[in-house]
Amino acid sequence: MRNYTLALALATSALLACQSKSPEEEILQHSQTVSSWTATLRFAGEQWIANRVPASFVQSTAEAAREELGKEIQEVSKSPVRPELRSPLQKLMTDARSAGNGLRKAVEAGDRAGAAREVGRLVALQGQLATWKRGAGQ
Amino acid sequence: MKMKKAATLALGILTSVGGFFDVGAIATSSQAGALYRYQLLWALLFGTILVVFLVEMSGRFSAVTRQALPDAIRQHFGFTFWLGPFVVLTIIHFLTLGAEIGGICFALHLLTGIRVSAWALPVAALTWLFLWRATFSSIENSTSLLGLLTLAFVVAAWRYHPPLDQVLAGFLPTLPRQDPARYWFIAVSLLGAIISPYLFYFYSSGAVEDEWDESYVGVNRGVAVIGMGFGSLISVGAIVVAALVLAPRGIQVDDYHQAALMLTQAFPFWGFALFALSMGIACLGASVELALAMAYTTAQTFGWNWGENLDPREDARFCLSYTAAILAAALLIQFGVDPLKLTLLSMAINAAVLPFVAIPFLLLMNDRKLLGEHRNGWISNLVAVVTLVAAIVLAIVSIPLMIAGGG
Repeated sequence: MRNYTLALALATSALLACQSKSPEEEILQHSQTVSSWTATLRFAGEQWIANRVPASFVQSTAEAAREELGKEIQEVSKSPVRPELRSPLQKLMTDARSAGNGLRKAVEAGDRAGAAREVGRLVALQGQLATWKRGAGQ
Repeated sequence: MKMKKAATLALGILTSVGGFFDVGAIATSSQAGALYRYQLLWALLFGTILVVFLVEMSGRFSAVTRQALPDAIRQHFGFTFWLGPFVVLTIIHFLTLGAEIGGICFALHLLTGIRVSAWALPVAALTWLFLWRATFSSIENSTSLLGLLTLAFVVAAWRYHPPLDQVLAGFLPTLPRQDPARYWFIAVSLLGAIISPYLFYFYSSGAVEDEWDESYVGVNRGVAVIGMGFGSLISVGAIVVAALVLAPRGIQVDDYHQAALMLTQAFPFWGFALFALSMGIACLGASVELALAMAYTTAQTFGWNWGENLDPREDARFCLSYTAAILAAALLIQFGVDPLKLTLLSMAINAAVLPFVAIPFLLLMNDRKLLGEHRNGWISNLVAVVTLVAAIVLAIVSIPLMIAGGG
């Protein structure tokens, strides 16, 4: 039993040691979450425009995205990574949250053209996020 | 008699729909496919082989001894020995029941737009009413029939024409190209979702409820293979769909809203509703099984009357057990616990508690006095040893992985 506990403790320590990431790696992980939510909002918007999902789904997805992006913005603002890397990502995150809010409002109003514009913004943001990631070394 | 034995296949389907394809499978399969495409199919295959053997053993045990597993463990190892594992398992069953109820609430949220927590108490009342009014066979049959809807994932995977060479390659274990902690966390969670301890207690108690005897040993083998195979096929479908729909778009599943878009491409007009209904039904089946498994285990641990076929007046404490379990688990969702986070926590802890389940179970399966010629042969024992080693490894790594890779 003692050996078992020891193995558990060693495994925990080893894994937690492996977990420690550089600030650059951490910020890349945050950018991954932002990319994922941006893609989710875009996909949900496209599906609503095509009449494949209800408006209530896009609204609740946009709400979930707003909360998660808010948390990510706070996390990234605390990152010790150099400002020339952090600031552009913070702007992209804020823009993604704003596009999500725009999509929610357009869907609430039943405005398909408005929703398509927000989807377009999200597509552009995805491209900018990809460029940022390449610049950050991924 | 032949008809009755054929009907027992329904038990296998129910167990697989509820116990195999449930909220844990939806969460872990969609995460696996979205992040690693087909690369984690090997974990599903490995878990399926283990669970087929373990389910077969638990059914064989009950058919030969006419006893359910917790009852037998308590009688053979003593109340004091069993009390520790019982408490641990009750806690993990409670968390998993909360996750399943959360899954039903989320499905209803998708269909109605009403917030998840508002559904917690109505869902608890519905689950309770189902258990209060229904007999064991009516629960089996209704959930089995409705559970066929989850085949939508298999049909969707087929319609997307996945690259078969890549899918087949996924059944061979490979090392991750990125984020190894997360890869192993999802692999462990997939196994935890497949090899859920409650499955064995529910299945063996169900065999006693269905009055199996030694003549059911062959049928039991068929039930284990077909039932678990059915569940596994649906999970493969979910991984493939996530790999083809979510992964190319860069969507990772950190929230059930992201998984809800999986079927809208394959079934343009009703894919969204199909996902919600599949999720709701799979989680309802699992909630019923879990609540029953908790009541069976509690009643058998304390030597109370038990049986879903009995009138509630004859087994009041058994009924009280599942009533309390459902209400308490629903309160987790009512108070705003995130269903996906609760699911992933439950799956990782499921993996950690496997040794508590596996060790006494495997000792019983080799007891000549209890099982005679039906005790484990060398193949079953080989799988049993692999399971035990896997269980211990999972117990060691699951919690650290949850911290390091749970995200």
